[in-house]
Amino acid sequence: MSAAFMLEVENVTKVYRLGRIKVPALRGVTLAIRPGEMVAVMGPSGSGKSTLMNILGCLDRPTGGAYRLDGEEVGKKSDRELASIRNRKIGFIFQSYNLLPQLTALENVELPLIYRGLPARERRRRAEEALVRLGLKDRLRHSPRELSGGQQQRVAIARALAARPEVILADEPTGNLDSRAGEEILAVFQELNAEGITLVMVTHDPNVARHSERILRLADGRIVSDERVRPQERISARELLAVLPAAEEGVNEK
Amino acid sequence: MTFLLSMKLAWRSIVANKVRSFLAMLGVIIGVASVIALVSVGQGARLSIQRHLESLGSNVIEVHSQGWEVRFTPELIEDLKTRVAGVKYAMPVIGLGGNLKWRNNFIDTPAQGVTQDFLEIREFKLAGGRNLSEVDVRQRRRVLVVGAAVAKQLFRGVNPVGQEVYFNNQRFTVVGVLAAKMPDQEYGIDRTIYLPYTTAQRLMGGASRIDTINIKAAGAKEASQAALQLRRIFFKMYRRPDAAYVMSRDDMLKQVAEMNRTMTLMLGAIAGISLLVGGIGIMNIMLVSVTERTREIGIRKAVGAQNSQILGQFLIEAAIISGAGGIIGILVGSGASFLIRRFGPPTALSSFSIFVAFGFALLVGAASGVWPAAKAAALQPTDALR
Repeated sequence: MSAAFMLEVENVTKVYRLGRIKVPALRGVTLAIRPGEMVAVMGPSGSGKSTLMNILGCLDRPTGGAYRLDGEEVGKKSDRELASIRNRKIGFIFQSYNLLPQLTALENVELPLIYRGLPARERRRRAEEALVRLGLKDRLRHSPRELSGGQQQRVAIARALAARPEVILADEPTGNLDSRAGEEILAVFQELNAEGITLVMVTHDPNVARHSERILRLADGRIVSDERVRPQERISARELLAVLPAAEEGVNEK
Repeated sequence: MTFLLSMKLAWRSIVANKVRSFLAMLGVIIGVASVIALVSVGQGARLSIQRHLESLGSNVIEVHSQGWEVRFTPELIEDLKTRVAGVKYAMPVIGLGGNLKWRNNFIDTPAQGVTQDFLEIREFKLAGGRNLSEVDVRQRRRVLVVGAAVAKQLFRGVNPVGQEVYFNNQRFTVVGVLAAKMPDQEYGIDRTIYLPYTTAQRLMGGASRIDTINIKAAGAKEASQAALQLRRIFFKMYRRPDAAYVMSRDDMLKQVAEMNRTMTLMLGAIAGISLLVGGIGIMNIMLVSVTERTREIGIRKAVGAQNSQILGQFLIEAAIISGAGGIIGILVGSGASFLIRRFGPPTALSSFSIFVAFGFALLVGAASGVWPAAKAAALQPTDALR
């Protein structure tokens, strides 16, 4: 909590082995993200964005270099400890939502809390709270199949949020959504960020990237630029939503 | 993760793949059901033999003549009583059968010519009337003591004692009714009539001869010693070992129990094999399931599931499949056993076989889940989410 940086990556490399061939995905990445920052990571496909996200999210270990999350060195931790870090400190948002289709929205949101071992009543309370906050009060018992893409992504955000993470990592969160639904997701991100949650999202869309306050560009496994978005150029999703044409019926009810 | 919740999640994914889960269960269902049904047939056979033997009375030795020249006379039987140690009763038995008629009702029934001692030897109790008497035997009286099933089937509620009946067209008087030994059976020991053996001899004319002796010893030890002594006596009399077949009821019971043990062992082996095959079926399905649900496993790991929690989920799933299969198997097996009893030989469900089959099914199911579950738990989250 008291660390100067929430995410601190020092000269991290990642090499994948495909049979005998070694494929370097990250060739020495150094970056530091402060608590409460909202950062976009851009780059062409194959530039190592997703690899970087996996490492930041403790889904994968770096081959070389050091990675500290909230002041804690992650590189040498066991599977068990990594799972616990993912459970407590990190919320993931994926392009394809990654909800479990056999569970209801509410149960999907409860999932990380189940693995944390919270009592049922507490789980239920927190999950409902998160879903209500994301405007899904009437969708608690729906299965993901019965929800629109935007609603599914909001369930995914609720799932991340219910666990009360330090960091939210989003990989192309608006990639499968139309512009209005995507804008709503970004509005939620900006609100969460304003409340102090550190947010990192991968995107290839410059307009999406301009919702954040800082843009990192990757190419060939290296950071090629790291710039701040000037406040007057930063897009406010709420303001944009106000001028966007109204949503189709059924997509955007709150 | 709480156990109950894992159960719920596992149940969900089983229900989501109904046909496949059912096919996976099928091996266990067939295994458990066939064990239960087969054992019930075996148990039924054993029980009916055992009950028949027990209905003969305890510490009883039967001696059958095996050869035309082997004749048992009343004098010989009286003689045996004093010569053989530990003998309490000995009586001749003449087996016959025929048509028993009362008013316009008639049934076919086996009959035995005996003495008044049959009540003690066979351990019957009178439900009404009196026993055969020494006088009945000496005077070749035409009197009958009827079994409980005969009383029920022929006399239909009328007290048989004192009734005139015709046995093979000869007039008899019923003097006694026996209490039922096996009340739930229509045939067997209770559906027999007893008359003095002397009367039986006269009825059958020249063809009559005493081919069976019933002997009752004072105790179990005396019975087996008496059986030995009897074999020696008849060997000396006829100079061949198979002239008289000496069968002690307790020896037979022991043999039946021994047979039963062998049979149970054999059925156990069959059960083991079929359940093993069932387990392989479950393992196959679970392996497919792990491959198919790679993404689900990735998601669970991304939100912080421990490897042990993934392992537990798949193990519980395998256990539920086999447990549900086991329960269905118990129902199917019990149903089959019931149907067999309805249309075929007697069966008896054994709670032991149900327990063993179900327990073994659970064990095999969980064991066959170990490898797939370990595979699921070892998946790398990045690979699983790709």
